[in-house]
Amino acid sequence: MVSSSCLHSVLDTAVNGIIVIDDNGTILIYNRACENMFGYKSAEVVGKNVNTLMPSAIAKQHDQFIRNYLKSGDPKVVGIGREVVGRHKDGTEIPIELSVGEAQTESGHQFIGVLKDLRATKEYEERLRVLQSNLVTMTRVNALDEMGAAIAHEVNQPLTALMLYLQTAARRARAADQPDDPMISLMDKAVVEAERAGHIIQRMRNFVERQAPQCIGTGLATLIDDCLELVRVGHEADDVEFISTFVDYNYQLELDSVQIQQILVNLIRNAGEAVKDQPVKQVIVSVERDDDNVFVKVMDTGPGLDEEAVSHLFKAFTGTKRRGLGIGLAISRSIAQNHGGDLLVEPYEEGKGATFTLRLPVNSKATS
Amino acid sequence: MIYIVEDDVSVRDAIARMFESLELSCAAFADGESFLSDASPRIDDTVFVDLHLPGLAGSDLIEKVAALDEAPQIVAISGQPLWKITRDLPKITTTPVVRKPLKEQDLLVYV
Ligand SMILES: Nc1ncnc2c1ncn2[C@@H]1O[C@H](COP(=O)(O)OP(=O)(O)OP(=O)(O)O)[C@@H](O)[C@H]1O
Ligand SMILES: [Mg+2]
Repeated sequence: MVSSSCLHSVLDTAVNGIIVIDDNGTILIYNRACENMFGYKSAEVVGKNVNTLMPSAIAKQHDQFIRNYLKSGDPKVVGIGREVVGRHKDGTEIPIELSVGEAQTESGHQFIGVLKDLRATKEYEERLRVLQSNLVTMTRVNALDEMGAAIAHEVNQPLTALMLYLQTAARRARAADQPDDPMISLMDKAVVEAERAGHIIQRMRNFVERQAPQCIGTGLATLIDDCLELVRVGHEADDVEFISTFVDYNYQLELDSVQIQQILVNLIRNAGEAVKDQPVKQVIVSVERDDDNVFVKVMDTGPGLDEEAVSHLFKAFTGTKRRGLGIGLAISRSIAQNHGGDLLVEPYEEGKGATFTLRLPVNSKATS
Repeated sequence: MIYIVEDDVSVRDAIARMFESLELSCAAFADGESFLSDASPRIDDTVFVDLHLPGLAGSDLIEKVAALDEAPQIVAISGQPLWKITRDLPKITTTPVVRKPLKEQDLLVYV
């Protein structure tokens, strides 16, 4: 036989809220977890109708719910459990996961409710959803912009060389002892076309020429956690461990958080994919600092990247996957460089995975 | 003498060939470090510096060269967006900037 004080201490140590009511809806037991959840002390609600804890629309009907059940035996919640809405003392509504059991006791029919506060879970899910959709939108915009900028930049160099070679060749052709006029005319035409290509590139660059990154103070540790969380969502099935060792939650850095997130998500996602078929599946994010820079390292237990692979890793449009969400390493690097930082890969070591290092400059406003 | 500091092989070669064909003497370098150690620019020389260089940044090189006793004329070359150029260029200097893609006329006005 368990003593009543022992029972109460058990009830009070429970993480979930526990409420026992009789068949009139009167509260008999209301544990400590409920006090935190609803803001009412036990003494305030024991003996009252349980509908005190419900938004008025439901509160009005609750007595009827109990009567219906007792009459028909047709359960709407008893033995099933469902998500319901409770009302805090201050009037705010609380999402709750409720499961209800029943018992016949010597003092009558009783219902036992176990309540799990979903506020934290809901907020968390909502936050993750917002993060994810921001990231997707920004990735699309950025990928287009960066793609344009990358093309402009990559094509710029050969085009510049082409133009100068052509102009020089045309001049030489003119200076020859017996100028070949049809040839000169062809070269002049080629110069005009190269010029046209140059104008297209310039227009494209003006079109995509983005603003400088919008930097604001951001908690680096939280940012990293968010990125890990975003990637974890896609890796629930294959037991990859995503770990951050950086826990200085006070450390703030001036940066464009969405852009930096894109880089980190890409690095972490790549790492997650690289370890998929390894015996040890780990992705570790760590942070090192010196006076001028912060180094965010993404390390994995994958097969690593040899020199040959590294040599074309950062070139635009070389990714091996074609799934479209990622922004790719070339764009990641260009974003890092727009921040005055850089993105590097550590040299290959036999038997070790890959390590990518994102360097970000610490500017005057950053504090520790 | 004309100096060119540019990391892209073809662009460097094309610029050098262009000056040579005009019988202007020039020397080309792939990065700021080798330029500083091997070249001795004088007051009536011109140095074309690509802002996007590996190692010593173009803007730092410009600052160093501008600080020389008999500083030559310096012209920056860049294929970067404007905001990056203005961020990278040391504010004190009044270095002219030529943007890529470019034509020979864009460079010849400086020599
Ligand atoms: N940590 C890593 N370990 C091993 N290989 C890697 C790693 N990170 C990247 N790679 C290789 O480099 C390639 C390029 O990566 P990148 O992020 O640029 O593009 P992607 O991941 O293929 O495509 P996207 O990011 O657009 O989805 C990858 O396809 C992969 O082969
Ligand atoms: Mg990727």
